[in-house]
Amino acid sequence: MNITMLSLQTMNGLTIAAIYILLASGLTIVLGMQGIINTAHGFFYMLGAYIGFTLISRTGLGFWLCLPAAFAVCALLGAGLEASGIRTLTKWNRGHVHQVVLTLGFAIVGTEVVKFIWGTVPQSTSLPSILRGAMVIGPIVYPKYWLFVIGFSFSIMVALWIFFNWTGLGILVRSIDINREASETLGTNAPLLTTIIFGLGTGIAGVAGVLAGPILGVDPNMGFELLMVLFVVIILGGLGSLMGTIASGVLIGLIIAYGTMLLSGLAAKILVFGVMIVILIFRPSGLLGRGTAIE
Amino acid sequence: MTSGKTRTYGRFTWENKRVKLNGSDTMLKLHEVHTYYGESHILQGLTLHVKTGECVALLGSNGMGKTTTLRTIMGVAPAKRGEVWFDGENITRLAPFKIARKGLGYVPEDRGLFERLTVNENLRVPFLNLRGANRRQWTEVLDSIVSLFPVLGRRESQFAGSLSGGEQQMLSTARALISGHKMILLDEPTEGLAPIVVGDLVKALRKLKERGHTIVVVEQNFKTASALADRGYILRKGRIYHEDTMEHIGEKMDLFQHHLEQDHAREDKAS
Amino acid sequence: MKSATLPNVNGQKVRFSVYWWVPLLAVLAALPAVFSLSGFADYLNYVAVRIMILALYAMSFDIVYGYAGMFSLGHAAFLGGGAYVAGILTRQLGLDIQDTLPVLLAAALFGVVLGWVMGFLASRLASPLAVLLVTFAVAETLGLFVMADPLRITSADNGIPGIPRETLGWIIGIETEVGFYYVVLVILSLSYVALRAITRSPFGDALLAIRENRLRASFLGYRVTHYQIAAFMVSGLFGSLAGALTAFHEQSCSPEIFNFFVSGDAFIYTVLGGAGTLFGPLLGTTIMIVAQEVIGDIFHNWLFFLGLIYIGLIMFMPGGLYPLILARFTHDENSCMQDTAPRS
Repeated sequence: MNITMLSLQTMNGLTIAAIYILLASGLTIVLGMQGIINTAHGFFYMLGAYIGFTLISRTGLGFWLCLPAAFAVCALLGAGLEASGIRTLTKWNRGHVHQVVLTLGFAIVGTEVVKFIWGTVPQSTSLPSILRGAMVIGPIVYPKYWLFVIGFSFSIMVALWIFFNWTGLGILVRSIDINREASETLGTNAPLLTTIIFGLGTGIAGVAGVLAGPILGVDPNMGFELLMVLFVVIILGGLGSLMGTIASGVLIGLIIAYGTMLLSGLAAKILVFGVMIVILIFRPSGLLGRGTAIE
Repeated sequence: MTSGKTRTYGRFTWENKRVKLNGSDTMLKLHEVHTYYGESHILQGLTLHVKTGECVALLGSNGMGKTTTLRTIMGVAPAKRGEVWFDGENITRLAPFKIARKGLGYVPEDRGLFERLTVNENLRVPFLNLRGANRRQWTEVLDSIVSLFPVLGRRESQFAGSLSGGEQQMLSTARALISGHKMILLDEPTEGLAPIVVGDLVKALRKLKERGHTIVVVEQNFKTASALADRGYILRKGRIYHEDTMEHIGEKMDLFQHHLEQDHAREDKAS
Repeated sequence: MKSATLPNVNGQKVRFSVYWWVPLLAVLAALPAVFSLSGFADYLNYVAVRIMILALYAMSFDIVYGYAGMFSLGHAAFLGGGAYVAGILTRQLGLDIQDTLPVLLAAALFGVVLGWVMGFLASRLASPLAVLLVTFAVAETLGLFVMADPLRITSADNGIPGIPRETLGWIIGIETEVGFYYVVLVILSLSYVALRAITRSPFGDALLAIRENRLRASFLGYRVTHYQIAAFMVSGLFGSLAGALTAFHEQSCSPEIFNFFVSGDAFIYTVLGGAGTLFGPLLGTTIMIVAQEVIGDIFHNWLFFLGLIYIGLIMFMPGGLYPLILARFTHDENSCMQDTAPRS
């Protein structure tokens, strides 16, 4: 193995990581900050990918319009799911298990609907011309699109970080995370904010789906397969911590890339779950970030 | 209902007494309120009222429903039967955040601070929820808070979780004042504080009262309560057992003590 | 108070006493004869056996979820583990085992060991979410391990075909569907009796106490983690037994058995019937498998309806059917909705 191969795999890992990070950030703000386990997250990712695929291949709309379109559709659908189902469960004081089952049920039904509309054959999304081709950096040649995905994901993360740390809405969201009741008695419309954040999370998942389409392909099971890896990422990073999510996303992405290169794809996955079990047992609050414990 | 003009929250209205009220001089009224926690019947037909600008103390021993009374007013533990009226509006069925937005502040027993937010951010939470609040008004609000609790000004960028007990209590009170520009509810504000800190806090609360703020305070310590309140209610088993001015209650304290102790003795026997 | 009233649903002696069981067993015993009257006896037998095996699997899940109050999303590990133990022992090692009895025992033993592992991991975690994830990870890891097949014994993603099914205990012939039906019926009945004894023993009471309030149970002197591990071991025993039976029933096993939908099925079967009762999983499994066969036949799309059942169940009937039926039978207004299901 030479240095070109290694760096290519590293870039490959970082690209996968960028998508994981984007997805995991949506999951971690919903779980870490609002205490909702959204097992339908993978569904929204898959839906986003299909929206991207359809808009690019069937209509004249460009890649750039797909991103906001996928965001809008997934965010609205997610907000609807929160407002019509999960909110009721929260009101009834049901625990995480019920959220898991409800969102899982939603994801299963949704996946079947997607299969009904688009069929079960894997598809792949084509790229806009600007992002096609490769870029030469020194001795190494990278696909342009990989770099774009990394850059895009990074800017979304920066935007999220600014949103949560510097804006008033972000402060309110964090206050709900820390003490929901106290925040409500100070006038925070917590149910509405939870819906908004949930929608934000699923919307980001949709965007990640559009981005992943050209690299990983589009098929109805892409979401379920990824979901648990995402849980590994957010737990490793410490729930609710964006910085931690970035770090652990990179770690997991690289483990998968190197594991696939050196061993096999299955071995890489086993490695990821092994990491998850070890982390859960020894550091349930996550390795990185400030680590809100999973309560 | 509130007209458009009453929403001039920005000027931090409690300070310059520009609180627009809905006419009546009764700020808060509870009528035959029943509240349950699951199966247990906590408030059993509680009736009380608080006049505008008045400071009222809720007295009584543990488990008599003082905290529940405040939680019911705030909508956190909503009443099953009965009515709660605040500033001329029926708030019985409203969500806590809607009640808070009507100008009612609440300092819970555990202070309910956002430990991982700074003091400044803690204060911004209620401010951000005021309708029409803008950046310029924020500095005014912050100034007046600091004038009331100078120590908070020095701790502004510190995390709330790192404050001392007294500072935490002041922060929680200050926070409640921003949302509660008409009235605040304080649950055991002096509990667990050093005597000297209690003195500071009582001083600040008296200052508030002089400015015309309406206050309801739950207090175990009768001395602290009488230093603050004009009038007191003694709760017993989820009902009002006695109502009088603080002086009169003070005079008859021995008698009440005697009755309440009998209660306890009876309960001990029963259990 | 709460914990004292909870065991009632299965603890009250009036309910489903022997007067109910004798006719029920008689009906079940007569079923193959009834099936043989129809034109597709083999199919009906096949489905009935499937129901009984999966009911055993659901009951094993209920020990962990309904009684011990831990949500395992990795129960497929037991089912799949048991199935693969059966497959490997009979086909892959060249041992030429003709009889199923030692294989069933080996699978049960494997289940106990795996149960210890899962229980050990789960009992170290306080949060239901973490338990859910760690159990899932165990199942997924096992599934991936089977697919990767590093030891060359699981034949990767082809699965193991042609698992022999000849005798049980060298005497009882189980080659035919009917013979196997009776064997499974007996195993299910014995397991039910055993599980009933376990859940009504002080051990079962301890599990309920832990389910209701882990902290309080530990103050009462229960070694919470020991009980949780034990619950997983009991569950593993019966779960893997069901797994081995599945392998003999299908006469094959494949990596899909570790799919997390299989774990989810255990939950749905249990909750639909009524978690925290042993009859509930039986009832729930029966309804779900019948529904799956019927709906799958009519609409060719079972998953869509499965998803709807997930949603409907959690929103409208989280307590399950069996407690509702009991309430009807006994006209006992108070005990009916003591919500036997754990809250987490």
